[in-house]
Amino acid sequence: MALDPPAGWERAPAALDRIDDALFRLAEEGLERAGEARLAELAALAQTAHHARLVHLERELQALGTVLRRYVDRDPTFRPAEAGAISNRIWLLVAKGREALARPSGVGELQDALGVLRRRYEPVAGTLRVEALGASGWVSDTGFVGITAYLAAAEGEVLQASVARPVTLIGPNPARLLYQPLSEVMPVTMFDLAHGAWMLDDVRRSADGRLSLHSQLAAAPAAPTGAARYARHLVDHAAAIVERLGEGELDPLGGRASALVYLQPARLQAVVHNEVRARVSAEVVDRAGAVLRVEVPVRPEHDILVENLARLAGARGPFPVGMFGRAWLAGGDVGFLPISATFDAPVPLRARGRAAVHELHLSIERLAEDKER
Amino acid sequence: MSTDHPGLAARLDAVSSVAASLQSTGLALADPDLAGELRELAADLAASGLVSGAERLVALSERLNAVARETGPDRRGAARATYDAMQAVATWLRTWRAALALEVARERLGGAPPVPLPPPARAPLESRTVSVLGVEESGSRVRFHAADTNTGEHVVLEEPRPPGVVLALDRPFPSQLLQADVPLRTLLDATLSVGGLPAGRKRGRVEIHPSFSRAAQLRKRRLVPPLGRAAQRGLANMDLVARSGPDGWTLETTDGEVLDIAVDQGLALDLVKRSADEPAPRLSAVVVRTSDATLLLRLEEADGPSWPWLDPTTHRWPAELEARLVRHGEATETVPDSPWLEIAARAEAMPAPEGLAFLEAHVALLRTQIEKGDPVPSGHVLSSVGRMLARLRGEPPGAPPIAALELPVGRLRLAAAAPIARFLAGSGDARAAADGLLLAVASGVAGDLFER
Repeated sequence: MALDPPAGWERAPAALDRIDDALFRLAEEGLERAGEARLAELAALAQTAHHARLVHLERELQALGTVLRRYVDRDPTFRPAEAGAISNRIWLLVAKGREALARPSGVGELQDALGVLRRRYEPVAGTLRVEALGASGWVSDTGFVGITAYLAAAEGEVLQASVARPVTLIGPNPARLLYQPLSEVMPVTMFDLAHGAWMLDDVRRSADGRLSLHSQLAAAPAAPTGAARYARHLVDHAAAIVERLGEGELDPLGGRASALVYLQPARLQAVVHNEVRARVSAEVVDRAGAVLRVEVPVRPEHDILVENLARLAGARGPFPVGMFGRAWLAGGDVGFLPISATFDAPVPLRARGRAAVHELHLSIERLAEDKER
Repeated sequence: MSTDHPGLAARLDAVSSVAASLQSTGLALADPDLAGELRELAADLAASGLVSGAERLVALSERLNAVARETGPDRRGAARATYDAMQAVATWLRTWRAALALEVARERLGGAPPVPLPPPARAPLESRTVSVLGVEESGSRVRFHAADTNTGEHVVLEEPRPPGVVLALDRPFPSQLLQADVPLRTLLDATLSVGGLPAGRKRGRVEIHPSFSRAAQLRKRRLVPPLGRAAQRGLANMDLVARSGPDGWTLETTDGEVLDIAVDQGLALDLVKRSADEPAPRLSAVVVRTSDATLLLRLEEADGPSWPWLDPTTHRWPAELEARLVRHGEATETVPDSPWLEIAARAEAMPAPEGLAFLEAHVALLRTQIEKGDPVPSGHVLSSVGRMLARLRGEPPGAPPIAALELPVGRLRLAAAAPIARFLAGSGDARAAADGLLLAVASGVAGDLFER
């Protein structure tokens, strides 16, 4: 079927050639010879991809630039395998893009292969009830810092709502966004959205489950349902996570397959700093004795998570009744990034107002010190 | 897939190591021995049944040899083919690593069944029942004061207050304790089962917080808790006398002790209505007394409890009361704000001389009422009326607008000072304080007020 690609994509074939050629030259020279000039070229290539609406490739090129920057800076968190994996994804994306452009059968297929420049947020009829499952702070390889709230909506669907700012503007600490209003006209902050339930009106959402926090969005508090909201994500034990991950793990372009799960941990093992590998690790042990590995690089955005895990693993800290997080396979182990811990009685936060909460969002909220409680 | 996991993992590691070496040194300067290593690895993979991997490694080995052989213009083409072969190996490696990880994880984690959770060591919900008596707002918290239905002990049910929640009797309140939206009126007159919820003892009272895994339950029938009368501390039933003075309403005990109870506009309007029948209305109330203040929780009426400070119906004048006020020779325009805005609108709509006369008549009436002790309308309304009066009189703008109304200055000063003082003491609301400031400035008493 003949199809006229939307504006911008006419530049895509030439851009794909340029990207492919640059990556080939990088492989020809080898990582050992990568330097500032190669980083500058990758940044320029990301711009080329942007102007040609090659959204997937733009992100991968930015990520490769960030990883190679660590190599050039002799950052101990650099992993050669990471660079190899991204280069491989770029190679696969270039091939997929060329094939889609050569035999386009629909805009949907092109969007799947090349990406969508901006998500389309469609209005939702009526109101939408959402309830916070968790919230995590992040710093992207593309230079943004943000918080994403995971919200349970009807029929077990998990929607995501994010706030983001450039790192250059507010630094690499996502927690600084926690108490900022979601918009100029709404008094609700990310902290409010991430604790409790809300009835939203004038909702706009994307097909991939993102909520737009636009200025017309109206939010009225609703009663939270406690533990019931996690029922759809509850896994009895770690083995069930493997089944949830399933075949998604085998798609080379699917990225690292992961699943959002809610576990009831039996205990947390002490936090260990590995200074050689610049990694911090801990273990969550489920009720069957299976171990889920928590491992994060030593970076400023993980400081609060590490501090909270150390507190929770300590004998004196309150122990959570559940942990909500993202699980994936890591070389035969189950890797787990805890997003939020839940407690039966509210635990006080070390923050202004000393709010007490049932859900501690581990990467952006600090537990109060023992003497504060 | 092979079930020899360690063997497969070792082979994948070996392939990974060769690929990493190639990635690191680059295709242009690849180790000359690498092609041979790849062939050996391919033979090993083929022998173990991993034919797809063996084929990719052989292809990569041949391409590397071709690059080494080529010295002319075809060398770049050969290098390009090597790059594609290298990426094909990387894709194969990634897929097989993921498949192996799935297998290993299934075997490692699929064994022991989970240990059942220990039964909850908490008291059943029915082990403690409380009857709610009233509500207290404080910043980010809402506290429902209640009494234990068996002992009469003071129990505080503390909830976080989400932003945007307005406490109004007939609106649903999103209760974390009940994990449900419940009309506030229902909650304020409810008996709840709250056993086993997180609780602690503080300042001689029990504080109960919402639980993550358990909701309080509404009982069908309200149980009346046993309360003492006129206790010095804690919950008590108390008979009160409301008196109107130049500084607004005060509440006293029947012994004449003036209580430190904030009388907000809602309660004040309710008292004005009650005073149509008796100048000093008597109230049967439930209060909480602390060392420094008394909190009015609810009023017990013949037809059930009431919470005038939350009840919008106390802000309206029922028809029969209006008729009675007229019969007593009182004016009907004693309600602040909205009637005054209507009067101003009507004056505005009339021709100028009639509008001025109409407005002056009502202002004169208001003056008389305020002199008699009636409430002073809000600063923003008086300011609007004053500006309109000045305009109708043809006076130049600039003078304090409320001063043009010639209202009793002492009353204006008190009406402005009270909300500001309450706000500064931490018990009043900011909007009322701002209106007090406007009243002070627009009536020209601000300097006098703040000097004092």
